[in-house]
Formats: sequence, structure tokens, C-alpha cells
Amino acid sequence: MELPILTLVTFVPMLGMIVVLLMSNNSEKGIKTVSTVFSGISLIFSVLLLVKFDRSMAGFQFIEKAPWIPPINVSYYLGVDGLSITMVFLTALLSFVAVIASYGIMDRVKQYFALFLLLQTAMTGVFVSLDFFLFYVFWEAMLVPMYFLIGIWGGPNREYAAIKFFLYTLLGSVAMLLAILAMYFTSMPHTFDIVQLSAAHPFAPRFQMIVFLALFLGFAIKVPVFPFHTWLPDAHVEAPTAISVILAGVLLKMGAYGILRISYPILPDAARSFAVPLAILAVINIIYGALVAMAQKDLKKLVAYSSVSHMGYVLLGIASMTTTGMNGAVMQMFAHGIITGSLFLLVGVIYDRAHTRDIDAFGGLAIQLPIFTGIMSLAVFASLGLPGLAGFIAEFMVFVGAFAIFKPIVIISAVGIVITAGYFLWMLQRMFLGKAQEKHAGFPDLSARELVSLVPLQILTVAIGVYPWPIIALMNSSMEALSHLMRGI
Amino acid sequence: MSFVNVNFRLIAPELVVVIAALVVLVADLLISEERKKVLWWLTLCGIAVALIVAERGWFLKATTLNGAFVSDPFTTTVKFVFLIAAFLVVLTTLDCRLVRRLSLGEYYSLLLFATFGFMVLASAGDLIMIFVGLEMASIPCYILAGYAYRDAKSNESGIKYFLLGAFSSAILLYGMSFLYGVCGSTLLEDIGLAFTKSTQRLLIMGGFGVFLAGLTFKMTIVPFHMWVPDTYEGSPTPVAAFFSVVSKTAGFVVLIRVLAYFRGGFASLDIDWTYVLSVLSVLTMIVGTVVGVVQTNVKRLLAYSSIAHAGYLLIGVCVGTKAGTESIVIYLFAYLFMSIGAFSVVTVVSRASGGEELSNFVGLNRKSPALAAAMAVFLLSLAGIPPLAGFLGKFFIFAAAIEEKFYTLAVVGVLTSVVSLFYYCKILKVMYFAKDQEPEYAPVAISPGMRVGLILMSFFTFLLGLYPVPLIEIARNSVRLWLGG
Repeated sequence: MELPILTLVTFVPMLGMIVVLLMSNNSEKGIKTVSTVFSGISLIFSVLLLVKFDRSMAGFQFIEKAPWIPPINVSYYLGVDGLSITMVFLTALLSFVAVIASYGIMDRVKQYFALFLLLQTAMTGVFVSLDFFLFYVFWEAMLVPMYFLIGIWGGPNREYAAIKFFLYTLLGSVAMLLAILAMYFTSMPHTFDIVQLSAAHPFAPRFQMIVFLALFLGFAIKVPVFPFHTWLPDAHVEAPTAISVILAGVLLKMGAYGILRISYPILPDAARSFAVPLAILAVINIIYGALVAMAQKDLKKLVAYSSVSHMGYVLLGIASMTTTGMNGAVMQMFAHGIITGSLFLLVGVIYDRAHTRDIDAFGGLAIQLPIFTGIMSLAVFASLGLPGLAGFIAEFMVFVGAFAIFKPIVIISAVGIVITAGYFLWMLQRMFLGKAQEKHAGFPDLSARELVSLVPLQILTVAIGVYPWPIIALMNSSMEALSHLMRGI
Repeated sequence: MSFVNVNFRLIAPELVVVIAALVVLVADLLISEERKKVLWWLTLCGIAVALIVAERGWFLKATTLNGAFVSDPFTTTVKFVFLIAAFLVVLTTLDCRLVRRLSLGEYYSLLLFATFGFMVLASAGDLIMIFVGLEMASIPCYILAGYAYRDAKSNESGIKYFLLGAFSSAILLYGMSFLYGVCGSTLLEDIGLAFTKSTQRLLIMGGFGVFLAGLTFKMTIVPFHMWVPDTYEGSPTPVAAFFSVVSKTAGFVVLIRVLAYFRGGFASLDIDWTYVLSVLSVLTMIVGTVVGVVQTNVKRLLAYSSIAHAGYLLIGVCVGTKAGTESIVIYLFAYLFMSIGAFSVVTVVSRASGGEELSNFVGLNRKSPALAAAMAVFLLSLAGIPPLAGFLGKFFIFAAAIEEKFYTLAVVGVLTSVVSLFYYCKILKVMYFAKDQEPEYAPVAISPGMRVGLILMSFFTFLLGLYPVPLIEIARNSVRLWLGG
């Protein structure tokens, strides 16, 4: 019998949650070990998935299908293509890193790790579901652990941030639910099957427009697209370090993933007519996010707004509908995941030591914390798009893909790169160069545990930057097929 | 007219409940104080037997008492909701007497009598039977609401419920007299047929309107919802749990049945009640949610939540199709477990801490993680978060609405769901997030019955969400025979 590898990747963390719940409250070390092991097993399975994945195929692989609620045609239907496999790997990797980064949690350890493992299952589930009902269940189920993780272990303003996050995303998802139901009842025979709906294109153009907008509200809030982004800085700033990593690294990708997985293949006509508005929103995200980031005094807020800006590139690539542009978008999703993941980890490191994130409170850290500075610089340069690092490849592909389609928009959005370089370099200068602060003299440099969570991400950042082909090859076939569909080739 | 030919097999479940109630009442006199726990077992057994006896009704459709008493899969399903609700309420209130020094035997027998009344109501195929059932159910309910008679709030609750309930009964009766006057029959079926031949459009509309006003009182529909928060707040908490499910369900059942009989008649007279019901549904959802947001007493908050849920259920009535009615059945089962569950947690907390304010819930997670987790499950289910039962209920309701193009109702429904999350989160927040000002009270003690009850209800709240196939089959079956002919 074939190994149900997608089920394993998805539900091994949940198994871990059950084990954690059965453990004693006092065995904090044991709980952390168990969580690491289960998250690690899920990562190993996701690597196995990458190894066994047939890169030449555009369609879905590792399909698992079983009836779940037959009276309304809902099935337990899993499968991955080039797009989702990239996201599954990213989720497993960042979750593992985040578990290690959570070792510092001292309060209610058992609940924290149980919720975290539940979150990992829900996130992975979103990327492997091929049935709308299942997709929605995972999509929503993710909100609950996230709400608690921000609300219990977050910063001073955590309650406000947690409820804002929950309400905003729920509002988006219920709009999505209505869209899903509308599609279900309009399709003949009624179906929640994403693959079938993508292949059949059963909807009239006018209907597509309405459903596209409803879905877009759900996805735009997650991305987040301006003006639906206001939950993000709050959630990111208040969330504990590991959760910020997950928010930026994985959760933001779900919006873009939804557009590529659902809106585009099922509603191509509507998507085509919304291409230009999407591109314009993308530019607003890029420029506005960067400008606001530049104005931040809080390091974590700066990184949070840089995410808003960077997700604009993803949106731009998606709007271009070219193979290169969409490859770039997915590449950017992946690259942003690992780069911003590292940035949030690094912010967490410095906050642990100084108990402040105020950029102006630092200075000359390069002398005091050389390893930290080195890694921070690498992550920052990757984020601002220095050639040779992952961010550059992604942004370059997005621009190449989009330039052919909307030249003026791309030219404007290129300004974003300059602003990004501006705020990041300015931040580096203020924090790491100049005169060292006396009060920070005794800070220890990165510990072994911190290095374990950071180094793999840096290696990937450089590796992809230097030799991006393996990861592009992963998604290329699927994106090519989607691009052909969208442009009617 | 002959009342001699009563088909006892059809009314067997009701008879079992009445007999159980009488047995409990008599046993209460004979059993010594220390052994009163036997009454608890007797009540539970009585309900269990009634459940077994009622099971047969799932497969047949028949009437007795000259059509005044209807037994079909739909009524049977609803009776299951009543009986399970009564079972859970009894299960979770073993030590009620110890705390409030109430008489256990009377309490259980009143619960059984009320359940009996509601069961009769569910089976009523005749105006008189509706009224009789309603009163048989309501009078024990009035007493139950004011049961903690040493407590001023409970007194107020009982009186308020009684006065308003009596008004609504009178209004209902007034509406019925119009319908009878126009149609010359009290049988719902005959009235429906008489409508098609009648030209008295205004009289019928007026009569039905007044009838509806009386009925919506029971269903906790806005604007006849005023009594709900006060009554729930003042009633003993298990009683409030009972009301939140059973009383509401009964109102909906009557409305569904009446509309099923009258729909053809209304159509031929060109009367569209759907519009009125839709407006009521929207109002109920909005008032239940928006006013709920500002509550600081958990019982009042749950009362407003129950009003909002009545609004969601009304969407199913407006849709009016088989799918709509199925969705109501599914919703009722989901609501049954999560609502009684949430009230049960309130019972435990108020017993331990002496109150039901939000502040009594602060830090519950530290005192009893299991209890807090159960409450979280019930609240998230009430908010409609998957994969819990409440999500499934809402999913089917909204699906039915979208299928029949009631887009406004669906949109208002999902928007109020989002807002309602805000107030459920208020409770979650104090249970989990607050790190200071925890009220001082001893560790929360949970009685064995309550423990079993909470485990059962959380289990079903998960199960119905994760594996709803049997529930969907029940819902389909209960509607198939009834609406299909």
C-alpha cells in the first residue's frame, strides 16, 4: 500500500498535540522535546515529499481521496502540485524552526506547544486540501490556536491584537464561505471539488465577478492587501517571536495561495478583468508598505510593514499572469517566508536581551554582537533584494514577468526597491554602526539554540540566491499550466 | 367525533414521561432525605425509556385523536431533542438541592411535566392541542423559573415569565379564534384547505399575524424577546439551559408545522409570510448579537446569544424548502449540546464562585483547565468555528438560504456570526488571557453527573462537526416522510 504521505505530513503534529496533552504539566523539557520530535517528523515527511515529487507534471500528485460527508459530496481529498508542495515544505520548515525558537516559553508550556502543534496541522491542511469544505475547515481551524497563542503569550497589548486578528480574518473567511457555497450550488452536479471546478469552468462571467470579489475579500485580508492590512502590524508586534515567524512566514502566504489555487483556475474570466486593479493594489502595497516601514521606530513594526511591502511583489507577480511572473510570486512567497522568518527571529533575539525594540535605543551593536550582526545583515540584504540572495531572484522574476504586461506600474513599483534599501540600511546604520552603547556591553552573542533555528534559513537564503533552479523547477510546470490557462494559450 | 379510538402506541413516549413524572413525585414522598439520589436515577431512567419508546416514531406517519395528535419522523426527531435536553439537564443537576436547598423530587417532576407538554406541542395537529400543549409546558416552566424562591432575582424571573407568558398565550388564543372563525375547524389540515376556498384575506392575515405574535414569544424572536435575558438571568442556571433549547425548539416546531399546512392556502390567497419572517429573522440576529456585545453577565450574554441563534433558525423557516427544514433539524441538535454545555459550565462556576459575572470567570483556565477547555469548545461552537457542531449547523442554514437565493439573510447571518464571535471571545478572554484580579474561591468541584454530562456534550460537539453523516441522515429522514407526502 502506498504511504499516505500527505495525511502524515498534516496530522503528525496533531498526534504530537495529543501526546503533549497527555504529558504532565511539570515535564517542560519533555514537552519541548516531544514537540520538536513531532514537528521534525512532519518536516522529514515533507522533505520525502520533495524527493518523490515528479517535477515534470503540472497536475496533482500524492492524491488521497475518501468520502467524508457523502450526502453533500464532501470528501477528504488531498493532493499537491508545484505550488502547494512549496508551501507545504515552507510550513514544515518554519514550524520546526518556530518550535525551537519557542524553547524560551516558560509560562503554560503544555498549552503553548499543544496549540502550536494544532496550528501546524491546520496550516499544512490548508495547503494540501483539494476539497472546499476541507479547505475551509482547516482555514478556520487555524484561527483558534493563533488567537490563543497571540492572546496568552503575546506582548502588553495582546488581547486587542488577538481579537483584531481573529475578527478581521473571520470576516474575510465568512465572505469566502458564501462564495464557496455559491459555487457549490451553481455547479452541476453540486461539488466542492477544487480540481473538478478548475477543470470544468462552469460559471458565467457575471457570476464569476461576484464570487471573485467575495473570495478576494477573504484572501486580501490574509495577504494582506492595502487597505485590509491594519490587523497585521498589531498581530505581528504583539505575538511572541515564534508566532510572528509563523504569521509572516506562513499565514500571509495563504491569501496569495488562495488566489492562485482557487480564484485563478476556477474564475479565470473574472481574474483577467481584475488584473489591472490587482496590479495597482500591488503597487500601493509595495510603496505604501515601504514608506510606512521607513517611519517606524520599533524594529518589529519595521519588519511587519516590510512584509506588507514584500507581499505587494507577490501580488504583482500574480496579476501579471505570466509564467515568469507567477513563478516569481511563488518564489517570493517562499523567499519572504524564510527571510522574514529570520528577521523576526533576530528581532526576538535582541528583544530577549535588551527588552526593547526601539531602534534608537541601540547603536554600535556590530562590535558587541558580531555573529548577530552578520546574520542580521545577511537577512536584511536578502530582504532588500541584493543579488545572490533569495529575495533578489524572486523580485527579479516578478519584474521580468510583469514588465511585459504593465510597464508603467512596474516602473513605479521599482521605486519600492529603493525605499526598501533605504529603510533597511538606515536601520542597520542606526543599530549596528556608530558608537556602541555602554548598557549593551554585556550582551551574549547568539546561543547554540538560536543558531540552530537561524542557520538553516540563512543557508537556504544563500543557496536559492545562488542556484534557484531546483526550487523553480518544483513549481514551474504548475505555474506554466496556470499561466497558459489564464492567458488563454 | 369519537375519542375512544386512541392509538396508545403513538402517544406512548408522552405517556412514559408522564408516568415517570408521577412516579418521581410519589417516590419523593416515600424516600427518606438521605436517599433522595434515587430520584435522580428514576428520572434519568424514565427519560431513557421514553427515548427507547419514541424511537419507533422515526419510521411511521400516523395521526390519532381525530388528527389532533400527529406522529411522524419530524416530531419524533424533535422529541429526541427535548428528551436529550431533559436528560442532560437532569444529569448535570444532581446536587442542585445541596446548594439552593430546593426539593429535588418536585424539581425533577416539574422538568418531566414540562417536557411532556413540549412533546405534546410538537405533535399537535390541531389548534386546541397546540394551546393545551403550550400551557402544559408553560406552567411548569413558570414555576421552574421562579424555583429558587429565596432568591429575589429568581422570583422576579418567575413572575416576569409568567405574566408575559400569560399575555402571549392569550394573544395566541385570540389569533386562533380568528382562524377558527374563518375556517370553521381547529384541525390545521382543514384550516389550510379552508384557506384555499376562502376569500377572507384580511381576516386570515390578521388572525395568523396575531397567532404568530404569540408564537414568536416562545421562539424568542425580536420584538417579543424582552423576557429572555431577565428570565434566563434569574432562573436557576440548569433551568435556563432547558429553556434555551426546549422552549425555543417547541416554538419553531409549531411554526414549521403550521406553515407546512397553511402554505398552500397562503399561496392561493397570494399572502407571502416569508417577507415578514425574513424581517423578523434579520432583526433577531442583529438585536441578539449587538445587544449581546455589551453584556457583562455571562448568563445574560448567553441569553442574547440564544436570541441570535433563534434568528439563524428562522432563516431555515423562511427558506421553507426541505433543505431549509433539514438544516433546522441539524442546527437544533448542534445547538442542543453546545447551549446546554455552556450553561452547565456556568452552573459549575457560579456554584464555586457565587456569581455569573464575567469577573467570576477570570483565570478559570488556571483553576480548572478542563472546565475552561470545555467552555471554549462550546463557545467556539456557538460562534460557528469549524470543525465543531455549531459550524455545521450554520453551514447548512446558510447553504439552504443561498440555494434558494435568500442572499440578504445569508449575508446578515454571516456578519452577525462575526460580531457574535466578539462576545464569545469576551468569555474566552477572561478565562485565558487575564493575568490579574482572579476572584478568590476554592478549587472548582465538579459532581460526577456534571462531569459525565460535560464530557458527553463536548464529545458530541466535536463528533457532530467531524462526522455529521448520521445526523444528516436523521434530518433527511425526518423531513422526507413529512413534507414529501
